[in-house]
Amino acid sequence: MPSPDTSQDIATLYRFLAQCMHYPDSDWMNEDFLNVFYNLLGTLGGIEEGVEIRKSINNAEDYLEDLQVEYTRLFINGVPHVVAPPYGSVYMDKSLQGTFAGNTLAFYREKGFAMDQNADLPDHLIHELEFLSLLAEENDSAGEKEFLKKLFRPWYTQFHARVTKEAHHPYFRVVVMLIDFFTKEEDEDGFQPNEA
Amino acid sequence: MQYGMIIDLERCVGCHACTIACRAEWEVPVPYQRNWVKRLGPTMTDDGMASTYYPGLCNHCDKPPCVDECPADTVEMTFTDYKSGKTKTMEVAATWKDPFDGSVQVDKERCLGCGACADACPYGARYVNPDLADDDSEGKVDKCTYCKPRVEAGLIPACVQTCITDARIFGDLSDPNSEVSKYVKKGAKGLEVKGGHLGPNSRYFGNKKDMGLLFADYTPEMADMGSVKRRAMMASMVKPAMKKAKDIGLLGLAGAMLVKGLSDNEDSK
Repeated sequence: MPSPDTSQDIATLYRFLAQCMHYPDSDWMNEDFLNVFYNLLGTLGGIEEGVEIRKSINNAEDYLEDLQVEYTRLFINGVPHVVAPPYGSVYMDKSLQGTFAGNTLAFYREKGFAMDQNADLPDHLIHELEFLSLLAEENDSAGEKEFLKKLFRPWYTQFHARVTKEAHHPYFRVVVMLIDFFTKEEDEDGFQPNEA
Repeated sequence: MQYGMIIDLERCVGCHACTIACRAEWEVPVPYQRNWVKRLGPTMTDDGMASTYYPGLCNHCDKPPCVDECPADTVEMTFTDYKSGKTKTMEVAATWKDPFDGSVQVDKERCLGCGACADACPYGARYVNPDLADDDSEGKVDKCTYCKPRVEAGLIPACVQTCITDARIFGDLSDPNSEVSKYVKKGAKGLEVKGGHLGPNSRYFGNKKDMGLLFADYTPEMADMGSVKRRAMMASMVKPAMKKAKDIGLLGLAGAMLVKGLSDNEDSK
C-alpha cells in the first residue's frame, strides 16, 4: 500500500487529469494551465508531445476556439456522429446510460458517494477520474484497483483508441495517453510485482 | 565483506540514546527517523512473560528490495574499498548495495525524491526528507548508512558508540572471528520478511520468549508494490507540477460532482 503522502499525490494527479478533460473554457484553459501541463509532460519525458501541442497552440488564430471545436466534435456532437463519447455505457452496452452506468453508480454508493444533482451521467470519464481521486484521498488502494479493473479499463481502452485515431488536435491525444498511462495496471504491460 | 549490526536484547534497556545520537549525528528531522526503539510487552507468551524492545534500523539486506525500485537513470559508478583500495565499477541508479561493505546507500544528488524505495522497504527504514527539497523534487530519500562516513574515518556508528549498555555491536559478518559473527553462531537472527529471502543484516539476539515476542510482532510482509507502484511513482515525480496546478487554483474547479455521504440519506428516504 502506498504511504498516505503518496496516496494524496495520486489523488491530485487524478484530479488534474479530470480537469484536463473538461470543456476547454477560458476560466481554466489558459497560459497558467498550459505551463503546468507542459511541465508535467516534461517531468514524464514527454517533451516532444509538449512541443507539438505548443506548436498547434502558437500557430492558431484562436487556440481556445480550436480546442472547443475539437472537444465538441470528439466528445459532444459531431457530423456524421460524435467520435468518442466519454461514457462507459456507450462502449459496454452500446447505449447511453445502460446497465454499465448503473453498475458504476452502485460502486460509487458502495463507497459512500453519490452524484451531485448538477453532475453528468455516472459513467462520464470526468466523474470516474474524480471518484478515483476521492478513493486515493481515502487511501483506499484496493477500491481503486477494483474500480479500475472492473469499471474503468474495460471501456477506457476502447475510448482511448478512438481518440488516438481520430483526434485532430494533439492536446486530446496527449491527455488520453496520460490517462491511459496512469490507469494501466502493471500486469498489462509486463510490469511485475516485486517477487523478492 | 558484509557489515552487520547485532542488537543484544538482553542488554537493551530501551533508553532511546541510539535514536537521539542518530538524529543528532545526521540531522534527521522530526517526525522521520533512521532508527527507532519500540517497546514490546509485557505479554504472556507460550514461553512465559515477555517484555523487550525492538530497536530497528535499515537491515542493509543481502537482496534489498528498495534498490530495484529506484527509477532514476543509471550511471556507471566506481566503488573503492577504503581498506584495500580495490575498485569495482557498476551501473547503479540513485541507490545501491555497496559491492565492498554490503551497506545500502543513496546518492542524494541523483535521487528524484519519488519515495518508491521507501514504499518498497518492508521495515519502513527509508523516508523522504523534505528539508532536502530542491527545484526538481520535494525532498530526497534518506536512511541509515551504517554511519559509512564515520566508519571509513575509523569510528563506529553513532548509535553503537552511544549505547550505554553495549547492546549494539557493529562489525563484519563475513569475518568468522568478528564479534558479530560470534553472535550469529550463538543464534542472532534478522527479521526476515514472511515467505521472503531478503537476508537482513541487522540481527537480534535474546532469550527465547523475548525473541518470540519480537518476531511475532515485527516480522514484516513484503510491501505490496503491485499495481499501485507505477501510479505512486508517477504521482511523486509530477508532484512539483501538481503543486503549481494547486497554486493557480486549478484543482478546485473540478470535483464536487461526487458528494460523500448523500447515498445514506437517499437510502433512508
